[in-house]
Amino acid sequence: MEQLTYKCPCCGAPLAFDSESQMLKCASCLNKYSPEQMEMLAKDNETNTRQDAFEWAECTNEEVGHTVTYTCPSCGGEIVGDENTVAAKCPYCDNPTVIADNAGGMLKPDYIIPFKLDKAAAKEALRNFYKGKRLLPKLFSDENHMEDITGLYVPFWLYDSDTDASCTFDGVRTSSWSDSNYIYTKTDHFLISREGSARFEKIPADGSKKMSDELMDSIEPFNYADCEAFNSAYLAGFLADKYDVSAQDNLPRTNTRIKNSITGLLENTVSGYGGVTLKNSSVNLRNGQYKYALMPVWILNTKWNGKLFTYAVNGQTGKIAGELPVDKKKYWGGLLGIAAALAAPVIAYLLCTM
Amino acid sequence: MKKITAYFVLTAVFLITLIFPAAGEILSDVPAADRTSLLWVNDEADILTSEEENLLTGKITEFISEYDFDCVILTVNDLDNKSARDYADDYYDYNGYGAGDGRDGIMFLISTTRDYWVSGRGYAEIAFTDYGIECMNNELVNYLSADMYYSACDRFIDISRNYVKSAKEGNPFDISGSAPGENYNPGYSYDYYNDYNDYSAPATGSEKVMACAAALIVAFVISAIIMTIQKSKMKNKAIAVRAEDYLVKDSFRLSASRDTFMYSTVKKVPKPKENPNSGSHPGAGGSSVHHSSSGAGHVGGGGKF
Repeated sequence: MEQLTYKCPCCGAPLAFDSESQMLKCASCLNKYSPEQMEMLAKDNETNTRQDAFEWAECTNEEVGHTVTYTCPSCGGEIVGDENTVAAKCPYCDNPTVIADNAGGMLKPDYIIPFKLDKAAAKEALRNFYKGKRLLPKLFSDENHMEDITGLYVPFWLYDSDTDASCTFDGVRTSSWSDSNYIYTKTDHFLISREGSARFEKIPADGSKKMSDELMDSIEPFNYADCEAFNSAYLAGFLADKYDVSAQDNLPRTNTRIKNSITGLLENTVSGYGGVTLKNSSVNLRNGQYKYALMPVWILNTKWNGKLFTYAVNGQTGKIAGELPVDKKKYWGGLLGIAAALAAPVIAYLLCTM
Repeated sequence: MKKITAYFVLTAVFLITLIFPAAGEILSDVPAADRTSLLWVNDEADILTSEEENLLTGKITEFISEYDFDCVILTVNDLDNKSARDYADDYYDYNGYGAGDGRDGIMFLISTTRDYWVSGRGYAEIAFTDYGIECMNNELVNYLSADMYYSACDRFIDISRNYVKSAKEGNPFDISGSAPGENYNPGYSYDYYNDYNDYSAPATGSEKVMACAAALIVAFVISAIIMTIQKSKMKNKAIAVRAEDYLVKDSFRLSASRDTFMYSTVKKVPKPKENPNSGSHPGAGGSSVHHSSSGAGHVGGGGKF
């Protein structure tokens, strides 16, 4: 029979059964633990040793007909348009030469969210984003440049999963009192266990290597109420990207998001403590499925000082994300200008009065 | 909105820079008078002979010129319903005594109501510790109770001179055995004295430069904060780490929940002792400073004889 050894949660020394108190006793710190407390320790131990399990089904998609694939000789990006859409330049690197190549089609997406925002609305979203940004180089707010904004269907994987999780937390409550010589602080330590389940649907992760994950995560969420079954008619006038990051490749990112959220949800049910820290967690994903979808994104690339700055506008909600460069001249001018404006009247006052 | 913030900040800079000179104005009471007209021995109660007055004045003048530290003797017949302490402090403050910007000096008040008081200001906060004043007064009170006023005044000058000398040598007279650095009440240490000096002093050229430099530094810090806020607005993208947006409504179920008390720990720390230097407790060394009606800090001690 396997010999179970328990360690004292307070000091880590091994515990031994104390026949007098009928409890487990720590020879080192003299704490005693009841069978109920030991049960909790066993549970914590189990949560700690159990591996997270993520179960995801495979999915297969057939090819879409009547499309043209363009390859960018500069960055290697592959984009797809319908037969009647002409790609003028690469939406990723701004290279004006893209080569039409009918060899490879694209896999048929399960869903598509059609563009809700037209070009004018996307430009308006950009203008609003630029507002109040005084360090922005002038080139960026240039109207002509904003004309280059391109509508692109970006491939996304949408993940569904049922999730079970079991977590243990350390909770503390402190109380304090004093006598004439000392201040005493008593800390009560609790072991808290929570188990629960939740279902997540359509967690998105972009399937494009060329598109930064940061950028795509930041224009979330999409409103799935507008989700339609894919029809190549939606591609008319827009370009689409073929996925080059597989659903499997995106799983670690998605698993992490689910795990963080379910442990967060369980932690929210813990209350009445001065401090709570997650001790151990074990997550089990069931019925994992993913679908392939195209999401509408307006993209604007701006080359500035040899670096490419990309902004993305959610083509459905208008949410915008990106990183704007800081115009160094404007930055230093502003820094010195404000400092001078603040200091001048004070110095003038000092010189006049002292 | 930004303009309002800028003006608010501007006002704040003004205020910060103005608080210090303003504090100086509160403390400056009466400006130092023409020192040639100051009486070092003012025997209003007429308990000293004019010869004694001359001897004492000569000794004091020598003391003052050597250490740039005033020494004043005042005898009175009544205290105008004030305490000896207030009378001495006010007489010193409002008659323009005190050498240098700190109004450094010590004064010995003898009242024929059989009250006496030793009051010091400025550098006296360092030279005349609580213990020093206690020792001095123990000696002076013997002469005073025997009506030996001249001897009391003469000893007062000698002892004061010794105290100032020791202090200038970096070792103010205090409880024996305590190192010089430990002699001061932290609240009223040499730094305080310097600050206080700055507040009441008329600005010199270098102080103007310092004030302008301070204004510039404050302006730069505020400007850098504004620019950093502007800069932080330039990026709004980050990797997503949570998925709560995609939680199916009402799908979260808590299936088990248990909170078990495990153990307690108790920490005990000694209570901080009350500052032994506070009040006029002489046991721990240092000087206790009080503020006179003019707002100036004084040290002192005295009583009945």
